Amino acid sequence: MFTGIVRTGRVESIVMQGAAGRITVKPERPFEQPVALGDSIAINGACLTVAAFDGDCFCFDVLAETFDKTNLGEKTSGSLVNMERALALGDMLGGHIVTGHVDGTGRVQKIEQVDRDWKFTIECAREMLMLMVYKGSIALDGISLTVAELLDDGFVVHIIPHTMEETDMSEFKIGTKVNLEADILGKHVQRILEFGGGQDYRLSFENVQS
Amino acid sequence: MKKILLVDDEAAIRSMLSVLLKTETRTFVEASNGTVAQEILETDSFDLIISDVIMPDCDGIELVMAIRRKLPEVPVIIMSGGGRVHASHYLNLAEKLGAARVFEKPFNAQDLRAAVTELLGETTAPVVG
Repeated sequence: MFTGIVRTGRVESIVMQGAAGRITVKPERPFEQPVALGDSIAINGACLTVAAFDGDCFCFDVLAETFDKTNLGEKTSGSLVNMERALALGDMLGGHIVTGHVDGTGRVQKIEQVDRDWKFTIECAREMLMLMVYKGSIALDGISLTVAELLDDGFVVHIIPHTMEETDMSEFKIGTKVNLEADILGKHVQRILEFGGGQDYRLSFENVQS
Repeated sequence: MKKILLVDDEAAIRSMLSVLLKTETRTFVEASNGTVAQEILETDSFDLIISDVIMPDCDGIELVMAIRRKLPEVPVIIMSGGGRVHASHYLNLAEKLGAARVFEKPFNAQDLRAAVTELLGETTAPVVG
């Protein structure tokens, strides 16, 4: 579990070895607490497991499915990515609840500077938009952001200078592929609606007991 | 649209290759060994063939020889077999027999992408779909 408050790292390499790939990432500043083998770290919002260390770098094994469903397959040596350690009990939830399971991807459609801030328009599938609400939360490359505008084919986020400096958004260009994870609440509502809005299961004390 | 034949006895490796190499201008066909690949090549044409070197039935060496004989214009990339055996001498042999490039695992995905782009004659890095 994550909260979408990230730090940056640079991809050192993406190596193909057997059926899995291995992505090696060097954090741009060290983590405050030591990282152990097997720890979960989200890279651009995709929860990965530390499989090895290489100097100051962390190595993660990545399956084809993850490369396919995220933007990690597009990264090359030197690419800037976001990193976040899994939360521990008692950590501050500075963003929102992010599971580290990427729902889909989008592409940067427009970048506009508005005074000291930036406005990013992200194009994405309607299935993703269905899970978003105005002023709701969205994890974009693992960054906890607020949906500022909902469009027919995408959405808009406003970015303050601090976020530009501390995330991979500083290197976004038109067409950059981004990972998206919708707020978990929207996914639960969608699931309930798939079951007829709960019509076939009425919440009652008896039903909960049975 | 460029067409690439992926030959490997491990479905997961074929899948990984197609994911890492996919673009809007490339399509992939998969074969589980050299014999299946040669059957496909009887009826279908390709711009590039990427094959594992060690496979049951017909291996990458036999495949390179068959392709050089029948389809000398189609470039072939040969990869080693995932670290199970030391494959460098097979790769050297594949190169001598006419493989355009050889890669011994583990190798950098970026290097494979660059080789594929070059062998397909794509001048700029294509947009990933």
